[in-house]
Amino acid sequence: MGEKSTPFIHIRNLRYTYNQTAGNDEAPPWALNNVSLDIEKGEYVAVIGANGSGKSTLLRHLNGLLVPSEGDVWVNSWNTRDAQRVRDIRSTVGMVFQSPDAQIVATVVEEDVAFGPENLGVPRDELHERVKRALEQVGLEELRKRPTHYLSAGQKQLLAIASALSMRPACLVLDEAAASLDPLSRSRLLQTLWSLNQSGITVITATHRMDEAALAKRIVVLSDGKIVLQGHPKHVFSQTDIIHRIKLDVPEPMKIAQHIASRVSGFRADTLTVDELVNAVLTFRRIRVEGC
Amino acid sequence: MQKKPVIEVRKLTHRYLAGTPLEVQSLRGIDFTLYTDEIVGIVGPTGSGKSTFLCHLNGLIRPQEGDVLVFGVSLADSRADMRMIRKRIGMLFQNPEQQLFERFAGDDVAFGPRNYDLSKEEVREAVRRAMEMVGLPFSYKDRLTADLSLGEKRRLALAGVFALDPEILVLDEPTASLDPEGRRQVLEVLKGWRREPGRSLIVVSHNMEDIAELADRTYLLSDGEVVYSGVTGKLFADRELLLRQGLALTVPLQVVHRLSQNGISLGKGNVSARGVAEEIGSVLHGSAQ
Repeated sequence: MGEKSTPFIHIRNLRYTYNQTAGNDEAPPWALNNVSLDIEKGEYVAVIGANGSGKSTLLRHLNGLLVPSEGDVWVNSWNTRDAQRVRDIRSTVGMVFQSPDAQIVATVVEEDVAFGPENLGVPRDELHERVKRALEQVGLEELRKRPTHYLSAGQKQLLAIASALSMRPACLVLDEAAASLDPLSRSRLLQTLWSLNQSGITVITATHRMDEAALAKRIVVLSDGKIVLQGHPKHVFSQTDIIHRIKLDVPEPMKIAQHIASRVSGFRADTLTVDELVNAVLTFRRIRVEGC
Repeated sequence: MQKKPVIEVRKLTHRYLAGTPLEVQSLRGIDFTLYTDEIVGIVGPTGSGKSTFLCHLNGLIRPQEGDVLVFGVSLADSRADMRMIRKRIGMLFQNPEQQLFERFAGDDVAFGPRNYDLSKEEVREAVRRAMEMVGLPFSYKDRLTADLSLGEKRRLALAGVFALDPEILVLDEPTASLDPEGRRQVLEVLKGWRREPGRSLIVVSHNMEDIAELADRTYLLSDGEVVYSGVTGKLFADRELLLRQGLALTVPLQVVHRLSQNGISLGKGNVSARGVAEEIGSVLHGSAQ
């Protein structure tokens, strides 16, 4: 058809309801309502939205765990409805869920990390290397012999991430994966995601931490199963009214900046990080002092 | 006013898989006190022993070494009346919404009271009161548990604990994975709950903003030991300690610190975003004139 290449992830008019059997005469409650979204290879996308806005439902469509009630999802040009392609899709898109207990399968840490690649028939030496690397990436190398049920909640979460990484997926999807991590593990995870993304892996993450979302290159905002806003973090968070209306918040450095701007005219209110905020304060002061 | 200790922990030590090659020492001689009418925070890196410690407070794990005294009763004593203690200490683990098991929301809240020989009317009243405390309309009792949002489920789980009218509440990560609005609601519920005299609260959290907002005193655990205990504000002022323990500074504290490195010193003790913003505003106004 001479069509130009389709995006890596291609979602068209996706509708989903958990209540497929609802009375035929009434419209079912749509968890996702007519979502269209394209994600290119190598993107870093954060999905934000209040609890119940459809984030998890959307992410579960990306590796065929859920198939659309209406509309279509293509991954790498494979339609997720195509049962023949489920294996390909699942090894392309790695998933990490909110509660790690649901996805830990082995009784010892390193065996859990090895489980996925072992089942793909990865040769022994490479398997070893993959397990070692994945445990290093999340900082669990010292616990590799620990029985999995003697891990803390945060450590289990890191293990679930390592087990996804050992599959070397082209795309990593994380649903609130940092929620139960301590600040150090959390910032290590975010650094790992960033460097994975630098090396070409597509990262898609759902989060409630607005500072975490601000690290992405693009934010997709869901409300009531619809995309209500998307774009660069600066653009998205500058729509403060919409953000507040759908029960979200702006990152704290921006909140401080907005408060300063309300008192000091000309102060820029769009700083997303502590660095940006501090620089804005210093620059503002220098200009004022030298300018007068 | 003389403060009364309600929980006293002395030299508590715990090993998992003791005596095997896989032995893990989880707690190393913890001393801890909770007084009535206070909120105590517990922070520390993942794997530092926080959850193991909490499990000792209502006897889910009995002391291997050391002792835990709750309302003066030693939990090392196998004859301790655990039924009484578990009624007086309400406990909520991480992601409690996964532990809701009744089909209808109201039944989940009623589960506790029904097990304590209350009349039907008393149970109904306990459920009504508990749901009101967490800001869920009483009519939600007839909703399907599965149909509630995450934030509602989290508050429903809290209501289940409130229904037994505990004097002490122990919460592990009460705001994790909630959206900003859900988090705010839970924090308000907790603050409201403890306003009644004779109640005290222990909160474990990785969210430093939660701790800053709630806790009067804070314990910092690291590798099974208490490495700080004292007023929360003082912990947040100790930048080196926090960083050494891998804990994050709150955004306002980071801003205060970075500005002071650049020759702008703001007054100490201001830890809220608004307070810091006001001060920066004044500094910038000053330099503009």
